[in-house]
Amino acid sequence: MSVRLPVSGAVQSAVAEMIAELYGKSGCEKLGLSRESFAAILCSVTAKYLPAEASKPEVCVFLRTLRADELALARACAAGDNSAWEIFLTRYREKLYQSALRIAREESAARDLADSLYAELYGTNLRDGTRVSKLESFTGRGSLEGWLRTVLAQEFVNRYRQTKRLVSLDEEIEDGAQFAAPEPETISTADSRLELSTDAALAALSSEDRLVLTAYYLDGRTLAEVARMLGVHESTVSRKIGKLAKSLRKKIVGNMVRLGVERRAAEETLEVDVRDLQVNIRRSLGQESPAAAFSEKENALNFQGKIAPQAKGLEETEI
Amino acid sequence: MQDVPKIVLKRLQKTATEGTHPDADLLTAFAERSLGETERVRVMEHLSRCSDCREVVALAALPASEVAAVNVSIAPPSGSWFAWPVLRWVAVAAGMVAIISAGIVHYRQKSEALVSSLTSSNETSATANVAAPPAPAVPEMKEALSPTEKQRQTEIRKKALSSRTDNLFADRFVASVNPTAPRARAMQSAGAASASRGALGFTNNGAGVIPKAAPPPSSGDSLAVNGNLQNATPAETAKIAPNLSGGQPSAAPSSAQTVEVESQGEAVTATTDGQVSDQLIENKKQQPLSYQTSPTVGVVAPKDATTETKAARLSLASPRWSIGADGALLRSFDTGNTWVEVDVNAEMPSNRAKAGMAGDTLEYAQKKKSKAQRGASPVFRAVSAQGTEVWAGGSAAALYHSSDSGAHWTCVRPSSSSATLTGDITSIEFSDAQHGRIVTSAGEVWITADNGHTWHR
Repeated sequence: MSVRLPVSGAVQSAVAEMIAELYGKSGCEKLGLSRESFAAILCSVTAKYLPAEASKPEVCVFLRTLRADELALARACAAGDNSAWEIFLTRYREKLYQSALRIAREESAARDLADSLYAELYGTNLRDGTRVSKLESFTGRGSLEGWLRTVLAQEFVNRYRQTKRLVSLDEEIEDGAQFAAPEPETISTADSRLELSTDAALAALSSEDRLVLTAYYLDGRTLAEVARMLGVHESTVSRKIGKLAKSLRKKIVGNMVRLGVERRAAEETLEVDVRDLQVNIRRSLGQESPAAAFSEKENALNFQGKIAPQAKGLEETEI
Repeated sequence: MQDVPKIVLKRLQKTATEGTHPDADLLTAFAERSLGETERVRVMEHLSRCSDCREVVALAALPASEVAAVNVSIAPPSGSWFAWPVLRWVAVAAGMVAIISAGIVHYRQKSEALVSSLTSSNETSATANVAAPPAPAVPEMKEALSPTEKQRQTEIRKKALSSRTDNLFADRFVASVNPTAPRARAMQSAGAASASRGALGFTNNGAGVIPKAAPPPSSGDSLAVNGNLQNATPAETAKIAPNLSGGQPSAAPSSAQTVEVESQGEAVTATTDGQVSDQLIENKKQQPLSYQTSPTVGVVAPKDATTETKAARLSLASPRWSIGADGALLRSFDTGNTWVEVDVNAEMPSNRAKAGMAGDTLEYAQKKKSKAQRGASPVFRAVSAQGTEVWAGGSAAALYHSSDSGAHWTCVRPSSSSATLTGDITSIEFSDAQHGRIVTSAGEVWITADNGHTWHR
């Protein structure tokens, strides 16, 4: 492990108690992982996620939730065990490429993405003369397959951010972004009380509600995608968003009234905002439409999460 | 979808913070919902502020089809048959069945009446006189009936939450029955008493289940019925219909008229105004009969059975497919609530489908059984379904194809001029019924463009 975290006594005793059970379950023996090294792995994983003052029963519960078999496999691969690698490859090689294809949506980019992850998994980077595998950082909190997908997605997002930075200037010129009208300052200057009320209303939301709002309105995710993220049904998300939009409006107006704005004035300020938004959409869409011809750029813009939410807003206002 | 004010979006964007991101393990565990409550909230809090991590979670999410497969073990089989979306269709189907059965009854009765009017047209005047004597007994009859009548009435009113008063009801009752009276009388005098009973049963029934077909006078009632149906289980709808057949004869005019008119044209002339009121009572007398006798119930009860089978057949058309943890091929007819193992080597007996719908225990038993059977059956890794076309593949180049949603299977060995497919099949993708793509563990890709008749690498 790169970082040695202090391991409390409770963790050590809990691991010592459960090591027999977990060691048998994980099939470490076949993977060339000794009981001591597996115990050390469990200790470090526990120390990473649980607070130092966690009690022994808590640690035991936590240890049971870990995917011991996949953790053992990943760490055995990281340690360079050949049989472990063989198992890993037969189980995950094809899935890895398929996931990469789904994430990158394009054959060559997907292959590139998966290959670079392979290199990292195998551990091409050397530190102190030993190769360091990315599998070393797998802790068995979720499934190994899901972890691989997440790592791929992280890599993909990182790359996109870099390439986006590199081309952004040229694109801006092509877009005519430098000629864009300055952002209308009406809202921010109009009433700081509106901002205050909005912030208060948003802060009162649960993190899940806020996540739903940001994913749907800012990122332009579909209902199905948001639902999958949270593991709930699409209709649940749809209902939730409808309710949130309504209650937010009400709360913001309520907050403004409390701050001394007349109710009608408060409602009008909100409505003005919406109309203002529509104007902005039309203009920004008008500017961005030539970009749609280039698929790459379209993706990049989507990535910024700008087109989609606005387009959605436009659709609805026209209805 | 409702829009939120722009200021909300703006402030949401402002809250974005650059902090330490949760590691891949936590994000994975979040997506797989294996985090504890505190950790989950913490990750969610970060996600609500970090667009990059949201992007990662969204990208890493499994496509919908695979999510369904993963959730198989988690989702408890629920009583989805009684869930509202299904029930709505059950109600519609029940209505259709009622129309059809009513039509049959009606048709039969029409021919019966026709025959009787032809044979006994001479007797009509005589029986008309005979029918008069019951008149004195009428008031008592009315007295005896009114309590039950009222009770039924209140029952209906309670269910429908309608604010109708007794008087109103009574008024309408008389008003709507009057026009029918001559005809009903004529029918009786024609000696078709049983037929008229049937007619009453039918018309009320019709009004109960098909609100739209009911005439204006009964619109209030039909609304009430509609409300009942919405909340009722299929079993309850059966109960409601007879209820109505007793209490709501107001629908009689429109539906009863059409048929009897031709046959009783002469008999009607014999009835006088005075007799109309008798008729009213006699009609009333008929109602409890039709309420108690089974014809109405008989018509309604089988309807539920047929509706269910109909819906079942609907879902039969497009089952869902999945692979179990132990490589078994699984199929679900109820959009993923219950899964049944499919044995590709055996012909599909239809009772498996039943087991799938009957619920947990049966399914489990089935699973156990088929596990024991599945000595020779292959370990599946991939399945693809396009309508009724199903392809399933697994270890040792096992590839099975069914063109009837899994009822019959054929083993397929893709081979081209130079090679035959070997190794484990890890992925099957069919873009439509004809075009498919198979990937093996050896990295080979096999493609077909004619529903699997020929393959090439």
